[in-house]
Amino acid sequence: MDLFARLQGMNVLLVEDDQWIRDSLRRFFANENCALMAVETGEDALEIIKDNNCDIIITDYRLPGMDGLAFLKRAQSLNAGVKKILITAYMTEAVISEAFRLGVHEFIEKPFSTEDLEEALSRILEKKIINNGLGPVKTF
Amino acid sequence: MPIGMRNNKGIFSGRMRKSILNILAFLGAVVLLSLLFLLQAEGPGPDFPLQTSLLLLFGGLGGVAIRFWLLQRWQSREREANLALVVRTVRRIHLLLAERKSRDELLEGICRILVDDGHYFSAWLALVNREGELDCCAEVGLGEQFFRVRQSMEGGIFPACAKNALSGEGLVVSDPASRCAGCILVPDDAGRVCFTARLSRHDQVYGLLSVSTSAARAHNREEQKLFGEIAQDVGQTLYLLELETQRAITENRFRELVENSLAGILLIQDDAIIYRNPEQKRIFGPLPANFRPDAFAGVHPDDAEKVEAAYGRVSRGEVASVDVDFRFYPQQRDDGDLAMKWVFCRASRIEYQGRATVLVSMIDITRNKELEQIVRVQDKMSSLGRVAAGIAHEIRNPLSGINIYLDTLAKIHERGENMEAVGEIITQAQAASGKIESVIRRVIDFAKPGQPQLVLVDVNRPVENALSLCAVALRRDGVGLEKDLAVNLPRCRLDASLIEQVMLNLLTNAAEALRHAAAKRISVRTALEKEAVVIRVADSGHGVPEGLRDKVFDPFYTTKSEGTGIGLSLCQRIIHDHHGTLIVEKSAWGGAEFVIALVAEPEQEG
Repeated sequence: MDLFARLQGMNVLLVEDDQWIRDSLRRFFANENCALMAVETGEDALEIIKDNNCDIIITDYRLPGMDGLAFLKRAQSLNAGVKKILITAYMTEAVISEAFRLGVHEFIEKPFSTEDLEEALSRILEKKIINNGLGPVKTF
Repeated sequence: MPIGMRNNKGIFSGRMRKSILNILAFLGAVVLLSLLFLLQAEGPGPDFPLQTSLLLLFGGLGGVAIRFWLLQRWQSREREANLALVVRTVRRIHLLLAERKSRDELLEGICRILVDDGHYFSAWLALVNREGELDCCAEVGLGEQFFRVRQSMEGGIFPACAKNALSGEGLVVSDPASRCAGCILVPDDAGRVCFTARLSRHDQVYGLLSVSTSAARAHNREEQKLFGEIAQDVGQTLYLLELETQRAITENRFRELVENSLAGILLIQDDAIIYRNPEQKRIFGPLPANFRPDAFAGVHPDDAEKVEAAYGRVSRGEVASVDVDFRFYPQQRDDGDLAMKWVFCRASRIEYQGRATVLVSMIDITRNKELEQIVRVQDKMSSLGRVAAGIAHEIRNPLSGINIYLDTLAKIHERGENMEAVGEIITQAQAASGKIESVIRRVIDFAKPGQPQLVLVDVNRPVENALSLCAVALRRDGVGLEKDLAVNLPRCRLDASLIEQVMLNLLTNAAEALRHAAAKRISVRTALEKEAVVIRVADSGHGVPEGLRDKVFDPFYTTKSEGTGIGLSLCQRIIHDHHGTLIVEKSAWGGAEFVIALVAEPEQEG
């Protein structure tokens, strides 16, 4: 089944401080007839998560205010079943291990193309069933 | 005082001799007159009336008067001859001095004049140093006799007459009969006396002069006085000689210093060069004979105005001294070396040979300037390195945007639907590409080496550029940036890329100071304060302790483990090059506040 056909019923949230990426991804998703909620900061994103049932969060690591990992931690506590993709330009060991602890499902390295994103999304959707069986990843 | 006593006795016997002569003259005249009278009387017998007695008495007195008259006449002739002698002697001594002979030649020359022209049998002269030891001596007319005396003087034993003269007794008269210790006269010299006098000027004792003359002159006051005057003149001569020697030594020493100086030295009188030392010739190369500094040949066109103004101020006497650094091209040499040079130059107004002169000393700072240039470029690079992550971020994001737009376009193309969106997507992709280009251009402009180019610029421009270069880095570090840039600021003459470098330095320093701070805030403000355009960069870090506020600008002073300490010193240097100031104060948050004040260019009419 086509990736975007499966995504059509889902709520995908993008947290990215850079307008170029927000605008281009929004345009890309629109072209596939999918909705993409795009916000600038983790704080704004948490507001959305509170009110909406988010299925997938795609977030940048470097964010003004709280960083991507701090945001994911809070998002996890609000919505335990949410899928998490981390975009980062700085793949340091510390960031990766912290991300794994939080149960981040996929990493995308900047600069990225839509193929990278599509692959990550596809893998998440495939893993969905297995993860459901395990329940939420414990956080500290 | 055996010599003094002998003197008194001598004067006494002289008086007795005179009295005897007077009595003899009186009696002689009486006898002569009475004989004349007897011849005239012709035989009336020895009958002496009162008249005749008075006549005899007057005759006697007349005889005495004639004797005195003759004596006076003879004495005044002798005095005249003596005076002429002294004048001639002194004149010859001065002529000798003018011949600028060596000291030894001069001393012997003086002795020879005294013996040849004066009426002295012999003359000797000894000079002593400040400790009273024999320095050198000369003689004429003594020969072998002098060796003995010289040897003992070299051993520190001076003849009694010399010792007395040196201790300031005035003129000392001695004769062989006096048996004074170590007397220069031998028993064969009977009938001679020595006159010895100290050679001095004010309190400075140079030595002594001793002559021998006939014993007949021993008690002649006039003679003694004349000798005293000769001694005084020789003392004066020695003083002049000492001055001349010292002046020559000093001049030599100065000449040596100047000739071997590491600095180039140049003397300008009436706008013409009158002296150049070797280093100056090395730096500047050959200069045309008719070189006049008002032409300022070879000075870099950008510096000519500055150099001319500085020279003018000193030569007109408006200031005592002025410092200026400038570039110039040395005149063509044989090896064709025409490389530009930098010199640091100090021009001072001095008096030389009684005329107003400009003394210019200069050092070649070409190498320093080259190194400074290298350090500047390196500092730029390290500033750039510190914000490199931010710059990469600025490029990566629009690049990701372009990639996504291209993918979207590919899909549209593939499916042949949603064509209406294509135009908009292309516009956005172009904008993203333009953004990348602008970042790259800014980096290249910033890293570009070269001399500061001062042009009229709005200060806010380099400030904004620096802020945008490090905005991402600041945001990444969680630093809150407050920006308050005044509008309508008067423009300043500055090199925007250098001011940008300074701002970048101050901003990254501030960010580093906030690394462990609880509250992370930086504020950047520009404003017009008292005719100066002021840029303030404040942070909420720990600040700079008052005692270190000047020290932070010292080269190589650093509190950062990985820093070189060049940053702030270079910042200050750059601001000084703009005729501005850079200081550090305490910010409103208790952190550091760096304040740049730049001179505002007066607004042109129209």
